[in-house]
Parts: sequence; C-alpha cells; structure tokens
Amino acid sequence: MDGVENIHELRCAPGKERTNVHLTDAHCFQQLAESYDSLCFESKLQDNLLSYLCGLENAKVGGYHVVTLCLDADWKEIMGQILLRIVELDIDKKLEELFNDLTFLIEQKSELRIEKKFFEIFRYIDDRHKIIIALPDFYDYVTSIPASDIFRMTDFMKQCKYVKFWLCGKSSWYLSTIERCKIFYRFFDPISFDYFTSVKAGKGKPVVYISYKWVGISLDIVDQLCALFRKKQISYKRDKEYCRYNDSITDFMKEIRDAKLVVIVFCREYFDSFACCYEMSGIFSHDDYKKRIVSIVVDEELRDDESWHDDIREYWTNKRSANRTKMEGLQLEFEEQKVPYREKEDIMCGIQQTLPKVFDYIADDNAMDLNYLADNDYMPVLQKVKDKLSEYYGNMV
Amino acid sequence: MGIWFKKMPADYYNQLSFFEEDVMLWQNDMVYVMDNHRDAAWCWLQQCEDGESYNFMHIDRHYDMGDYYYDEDLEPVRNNPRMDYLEYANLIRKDGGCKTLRWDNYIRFTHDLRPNWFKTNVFLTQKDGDICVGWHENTMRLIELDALALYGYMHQYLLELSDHLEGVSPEDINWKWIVNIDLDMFFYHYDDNIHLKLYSDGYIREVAKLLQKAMDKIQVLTIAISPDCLIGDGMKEKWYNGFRVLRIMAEEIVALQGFLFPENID
Repeated sequence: MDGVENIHELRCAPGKERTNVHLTDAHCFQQLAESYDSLCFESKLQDNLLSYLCGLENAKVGGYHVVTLCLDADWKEIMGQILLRIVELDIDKKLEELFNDLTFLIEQKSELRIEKKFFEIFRYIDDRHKIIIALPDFYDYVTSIPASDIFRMTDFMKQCKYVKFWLCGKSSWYLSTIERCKIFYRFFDPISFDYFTSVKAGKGKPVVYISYKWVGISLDIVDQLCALFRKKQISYKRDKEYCRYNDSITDFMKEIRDAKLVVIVFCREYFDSFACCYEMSGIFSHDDYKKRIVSIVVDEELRDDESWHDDIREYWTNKRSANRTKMEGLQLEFEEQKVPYREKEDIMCGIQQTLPKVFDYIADDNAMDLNYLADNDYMPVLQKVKDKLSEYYGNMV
Repeated sequence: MGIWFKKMPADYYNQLSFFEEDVMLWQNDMVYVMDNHRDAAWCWLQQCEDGESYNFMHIDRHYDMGDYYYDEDLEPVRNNPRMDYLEYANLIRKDGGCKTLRWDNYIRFTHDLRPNWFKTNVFLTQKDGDICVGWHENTMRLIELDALALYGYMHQYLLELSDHLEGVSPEDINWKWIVNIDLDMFFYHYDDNIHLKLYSDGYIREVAKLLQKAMDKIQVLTIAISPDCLIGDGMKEKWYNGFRVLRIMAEEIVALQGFLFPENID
C-alpha cells in the first residue's frame, strides 16, 4: 500500500460530528460502511487515500465493493470526464460488463455529459450490488466543473439506492462557504434543508428531540431510533448524548419543551417521571403541538384504558398534595426555602392540566403498532420525522 | 422623478431581501437602485445594447460570480431580453430548486448571454463569496484590484483608462462602463461578532463625486443596498444604514437625487 504509511487518520463528518478514522484499522472502515449511507472525509494527504482505497484487502469494506472515482489531471480540461478505477472486480458478469463499458468510455474519451455517464455506470447496479464510491479528490473536482453538472450529479445520485458515497477532500471542505461544496454537503445530509430556505425563514438547522423514560423497552427503542438517525445523518438530541457532565438538564428539558419536533416514546413509566412530564407539558402547551410530535406508544393500554388514565391522574394528585404538605410545613421565616416547592407546584399543576389533552392525543393519534415498527427497523418513524420536518421547514433538498 | 419597477412598500424592513427575494427596484436615467443585487442583470439588459461592447466594474464585498444555473435557463432571457421585470424576477431554475437569478449568479448569467459586455472586468471586492475556478477560469478574465485603494483605482479605470493599466487592451479604452456597486462593500463583517463600517462618510462622498464626474463614461450604474449584508441590529436598522450611505451618494449623483427615501414615499 504505497503511501499509506504516511497517513494515520482521516476525519469523517457525518452531520457535523467529527470522527477520526484510523486507516490501518479495517474494522473501523467496516463499521462506517455499516453505519452510514454516505460519508464526507477530510484528509491532508488525499492522494494517499486513493492508493489506500485501491489496496483495501479484498476490495471490500463491510461487504461493499470499493470504487474510486478520480479526475485525471490531463482530463480536467474535458468537462465531466471521469476516470474510473474498479479496485477489484467480483467474478460477476454484470460487473465485468460494467468494467468493459467503463474502459470503453475512458478510452473513447467520450464527450457524454456527466449524467449520461453516471447512467451508464449505474444501470448495471441492482440491489445485489453493494458499492461504495469514493471520490478522493472531491474538492478539486467540484471546483473544476460547472455548477449545473453538480446539480445533475446530485439529482442522479438521489436515484441510486444501493450505492454509498464516500467523499474525501482537503481539510474541512464540507465546512467550506463555497456554494458548490454546500450543494454536495446538503445532499449528503438528508435533513439539512436548503440553507437559504431555512435561514431566510428565520429557522435554524432542523433537529429532532427525543423525550423518553430511561427504562426497559423505551430505552431500547430510542437506542435503535438514534442509530437510524445517525445512519441517515439526521440531527437529533437526546439527553444521554447531548447532556454531558455538568450540563444543565433543566436547560435541556426547556429546549425539548420548545422544540419544533419531538419524538415522544410513551410508556407507563413515562407518566411517573417528573422530568418526562415536565417536557411533555411544555410540548403540549403549543397550539400546534400535533405538528410537533411523532409518538411511539409502548403500552397500548395508554390509548384507551380508563383505569390506567385514572391511575396516572391519581399519581399526580398525590404527588402534588405531598409537595404542598411539605411546602406548608415550612415556617414563615424560611420563605425562601418555599420557592422550589412553589415552582414544583406550578409545574405539577401544568402537568395535571395537560394530562387529558395527552390522553386524547394518544387515543386519537394513528401511531403504528410497536411490533410493526420494530419489524421495519423504525423506518416508518423516520418517514414521519421527515414529513413533519418538511411540513415545518419546507421542501427538503 | 424616477420610476419604480417595484415600489418600496411602507413596511419594507419587514420584507424579505435575501438570496432570491427582492423588495424594490427604482430607476432614473441610467442609474438603478435595488435592494437585491440579482436585479442588476435586468437593468443592464434594459440599458445596454446587444451588439455593443462595454467594460465592467464590480464594487462589492462579494464576487457574485457563482454559476448556479443550467445552460437551458438562459433561453427565456435570450429569447426575450427586454422581458418585463416581474417576469424576470420570477424566472425559476430548470430543476425548480430556486429562482433562476440569485444574488450570487447574475454576473456570470449575463456574461453567458452577452460576453461582449464584459471586455475589461475590474473587480474591487473584499474577496468574499464564490468565484468560479477551474472550469470557468478562462471564460471571463478578471482584473482584481486592491479594494483599499478603491478610489484610486476607480479614478484610474473610469477617468484615466489607458492600455498602460493592468489588464486593459487598447481596443477596450473607448468602451463605456457598466458600473455595479453593492453598498455592502463599505462595510465589514467577521463571523457574527464583528460588524464595522469600513469606509468613512467622507470617502463614500468622494466615490460618489467621482461617479458623477465619470457619468458620461458610464452606460449604466446599478446600486444594490443589500440590507441583509449591512450592519445594524435587525433589518430596520440595516436598511437605515443602507439609506444613510445612499443619501450621501444622492447628494453627489444627480440622477440619484430623485430617489424617494422611505420618509418621502406616500
């Protein structure tokens, strides 16, 4: 592997979180291939990356064939010409045809426009083929072709369902303010809506919050859901990952209360949690709360079992009463000590008032069956999240 | 005095003036004032002759040299270069992604339509924003000058143009100029924290005097307020700062004197 000894790590940027990838660690690459549909890398020594990718053992990463696209220096004058190198071909007729076809395209120095060439390449690929396309000199490439070809390329890529794209450019190219880099980056970040659309509407980058109780099945659901969000590069915030040591959990709960989109995982224990119900009462206080919520109902009884609802109401009546008793037990001279109890009283009053609305919502909401969601890897939730975000932020790029 | 192609509304500061949205466009003689620079291309198309050649001077914090459109998007304008302003302003890019003309692509767009309007191309910018490299490198040659010496270079190129100057061909010295100014050039931004007025009122006044003096060499003068790129706390204050600079210029540029500032609009 010529040159690989000179590079130690790549930085990849799924979303804006950065992860170091050690090139000598094939396992790390495999994990990335399994975890993300697309990745953007930065490297100071990207030329070496190409040789590294070319030399990958068995030319497979996580079961994916690796294909590198690079723009030959001599060809840069010819618009849209791409040199393709298949790292290693499987003994597969279709891929062999693909290779021959590409060789033909290269030898002919065809003047086909870029989208046509991509079509020629990808028409051979079906769901049996898992291919990673790596563009090691990505930055140079996008700055040397007309923007209209970038539009065409990203449009085409949207149609490729079974292909993963790994892009590598110099330094933090994905943070570049150059519009053509932004076009690509937006493409790879599925809910990174058009920057301008979002900004001009006075809205920040879309983030999905998750409100749930740290218990049993709820926790499992959220773990799986977050893995899916990461894979699809959807920005999400959950207390476990977002709220680090010393961060204010109260501030985070306030963020959730005002969030534009929250996935709420309702389970029986959720309603016994002061923190969860505090988040919930805030979310439901908005006039457009239905727009803001994607719900998952763990315990079906929450939908229509009156005894469960009575139980929850009673729980909060007792909790509030206990709080009042404590507050009233304090002597007048300790007025300041009563403040936290008063705040709790206000919050619990809000929770009690919200409960009927929540029960109605859960009964009315066409939430999908939990088994169905699990069987479908929570994809229906993902779709709902995307739909809601589109509703709020406008069309996705 | 002057014509509103898009009249400034009373609540102009509440309107979107960003990227592909515009609030107002006014003209008197060969001078145009707009809020969004993307309208400049339409003004040039009204004021310049198809077969004629011009030099181009771009004074702006940004390059505005993006190429974010398809070749096919040129066709409606190529077929009807004197199209109505509203038609132009509402042209949609082929893929439906956004409007065809944006605040960062109108120069390249016009250049593709009328390359002869861009003979000597002087760029006085803060080197912000996109500039096409590579593929487009040879299609439009730019003379990039140091914006710190803005007045001096404007004087040299507008009033003393000769083929001794950098990048000027002998055949270009007789062409009239398309002068394209964005008021954001007079301001400086760094991240979200530093917002400064870069040029003094006195300097801006001298620039305006120079433009008035050079008016017989100018075919069209387009001035963008670009409130979104100015300094100020909120859009109202940004607009105010834009009008403040424009007032100074209006005191020196005759054709600008009829501009109706907000307080004078019915």
